[in-house]
Amino acid sequence: MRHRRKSGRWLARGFLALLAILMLLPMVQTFLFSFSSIPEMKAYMKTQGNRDPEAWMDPHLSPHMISLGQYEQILIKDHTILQYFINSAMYAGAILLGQTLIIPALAFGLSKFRFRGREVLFFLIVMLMLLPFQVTMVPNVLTLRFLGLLNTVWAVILPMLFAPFYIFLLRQYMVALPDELLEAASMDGAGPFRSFLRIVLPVCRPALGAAAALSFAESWNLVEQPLTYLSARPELMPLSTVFNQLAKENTGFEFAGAGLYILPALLVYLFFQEDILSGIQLTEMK
Amino acid sequence: MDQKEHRSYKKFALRGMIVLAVIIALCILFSGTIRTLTTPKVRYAPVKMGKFESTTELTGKVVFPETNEIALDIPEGLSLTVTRVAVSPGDKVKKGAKLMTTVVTDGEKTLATLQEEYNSAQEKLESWDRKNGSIRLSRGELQWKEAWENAREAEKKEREARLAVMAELDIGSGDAMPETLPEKAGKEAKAAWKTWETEKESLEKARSTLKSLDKFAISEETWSTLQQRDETEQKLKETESQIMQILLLQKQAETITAPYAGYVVSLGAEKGGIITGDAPVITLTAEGKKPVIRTDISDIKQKVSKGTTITIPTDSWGRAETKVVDTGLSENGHPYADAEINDDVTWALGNVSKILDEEIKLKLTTKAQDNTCLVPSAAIRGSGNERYVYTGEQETSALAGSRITVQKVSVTVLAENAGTVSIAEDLVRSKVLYMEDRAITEGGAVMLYEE
Repeated sequence: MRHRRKSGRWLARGFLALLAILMLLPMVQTFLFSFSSIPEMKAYMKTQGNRDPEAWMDPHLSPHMISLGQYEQILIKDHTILQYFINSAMYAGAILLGQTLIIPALAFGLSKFRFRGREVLFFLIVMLMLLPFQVTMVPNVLTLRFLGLLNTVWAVILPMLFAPFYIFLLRQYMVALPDELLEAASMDGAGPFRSFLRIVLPVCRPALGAAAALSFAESWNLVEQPLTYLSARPELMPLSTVFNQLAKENTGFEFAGAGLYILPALLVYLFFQEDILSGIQLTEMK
Repeated sequence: MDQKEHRSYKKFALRGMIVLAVIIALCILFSGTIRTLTTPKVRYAPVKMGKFESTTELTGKVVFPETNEIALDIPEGLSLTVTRVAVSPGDKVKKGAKLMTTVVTDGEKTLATLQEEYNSAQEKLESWDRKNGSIRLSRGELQWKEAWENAREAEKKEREARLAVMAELDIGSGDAMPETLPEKAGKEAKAAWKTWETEKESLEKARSTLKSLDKFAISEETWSTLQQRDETEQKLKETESQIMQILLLQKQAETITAPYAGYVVSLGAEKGGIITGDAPVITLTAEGKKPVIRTDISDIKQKVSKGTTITIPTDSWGRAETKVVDTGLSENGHPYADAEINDDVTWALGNVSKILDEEIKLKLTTKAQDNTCLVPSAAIRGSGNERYVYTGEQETSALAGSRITVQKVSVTVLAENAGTVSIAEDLVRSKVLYMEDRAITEGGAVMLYEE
């Protein structure tokens, strides 16, 4: 019986390891390929989709020769990818900053203040969260055009500042906070704003970290919004929108671009990983 | 995972982000400088459509395309002796310039002999007059004499006309003359036949006149006496004429001058030499014509025509420039070109007389007949049949920005000279690269020099 349990554990470990390898393989391959030379990558990309069905596949798992040519191309020789990268960083930074100012306060209000229409408002927020982007896209475009913000950076930033998911996430976290905590603060003379800043925010740090990490990932991976709102200003596009074109043009530095693109997201995840786990565990979402 | 481990991850992530931000900031700040330092700089070669000019080195010689022989009418038996020559071949002379002086060879001696002969004939005539002064011919005898002389003359003319007919009809000397003109006779034979018939009629008439005057016929003795006088008179006239000719020739030949401005081609004789008969005393270029430098152009593929530029390099003076004034085929069938001897050439090489027998080095610049693409030699790469150029393709894309990428384009070289190459392909709209500051390769990026 003991022996059977042990072998079952090894089987599970093996299965999970295989699953992990399969999931990590694209990322590892991206970094490996980013060290191939540009001509090698161009030649490799040309073979994609043009395989002879009769011939055996020639798996290309690593560069034939290590080269920093792709990184040299995108970092030194050509600024374009870097410009898109900076655009991405700018959008992610601005959205994060805006959300930091708005969403915790909004979640605090919805969780700890009692006012008429609170539940309706929360219901609308939940509804908005459930609606896909394609549904809200047209009203957003019309509104942005009316405001004269279409084809400006604000067209991407402003709609993202009121992300319903993070309001929901934080609200759920704050709901779980004991009211006694705020009452004690109130008895010590702290007003609602002071309580929010000094009590609620420090206590909500795990949820805030999780929200920040997830929001960064969402902002970093924006595709539909810039393609819709910035169609007339391609120079304002973030890096996430150009990979399709990068592969299509067979520039030879797709993987270095992808590597550079993944790196900030990885570092951000590394920074917030504890907060993400604990934040989600502590909210009522678990 | 404990708290400490999390903190180290956070620290690592934070440092990573800072390093990434620094790298990106440095790249943005300095990549332009690095790119400028590491990218080869090139220029766009001036490529144009045009007629290819090529220069070929040749040798040529001075020739006189058209000449004129200057001769004096020297009577038979006389000759001229050159006493002084004032010019040499190749000299340019003006109209009236003294060319040479001559004298009639043994002129005084011949004159003295003729004078003696004249005097002798004069004495003989006077003597005849003294002896036969009484001979007087009647009117009828004079008429007979005239008729006799006319008949002799008519016979002579008829004979000449008959011989002309025989020559035209290919009749041998022993064959009989046909009674009528053959039908197949040509136009000239018909004309000769007509003349002969006229002469025959004249002869018949003269003979008839002579016959009608037979009653006035002069006796054989008187006729012989009269003939002697006529002969003496004839001799006197001839001697007088010869004396006059010598005197005239002496005057003409004393100084021979140029009848018009031109160049001396050759001399009839050097000093002390003898010129006889119709031999030219001097040969000049035809009036208004100049000597040229003639060069064989058999090996030149391009068309050489009037106006084609020719340069003549010289050690001392640099180079002279002239043009082709004529082209043609030599006696052996080789095409030639004649270059004008202008002031430039004279300055560079000296007078025509100085370069007359020299081999002159020329550089002939020819233009192709068709327009081709002309590319600077520096832009043409490769050797043998594998010649190519590098062109710069401006690539502008949203992703790769704007960059010039080197492309290799094979070309077919039609002709080339020191600075330009003519190619078959039309690359006028292509950006042909050259004057790179370091090696460039196909597919590599290049930058243009900042002007």
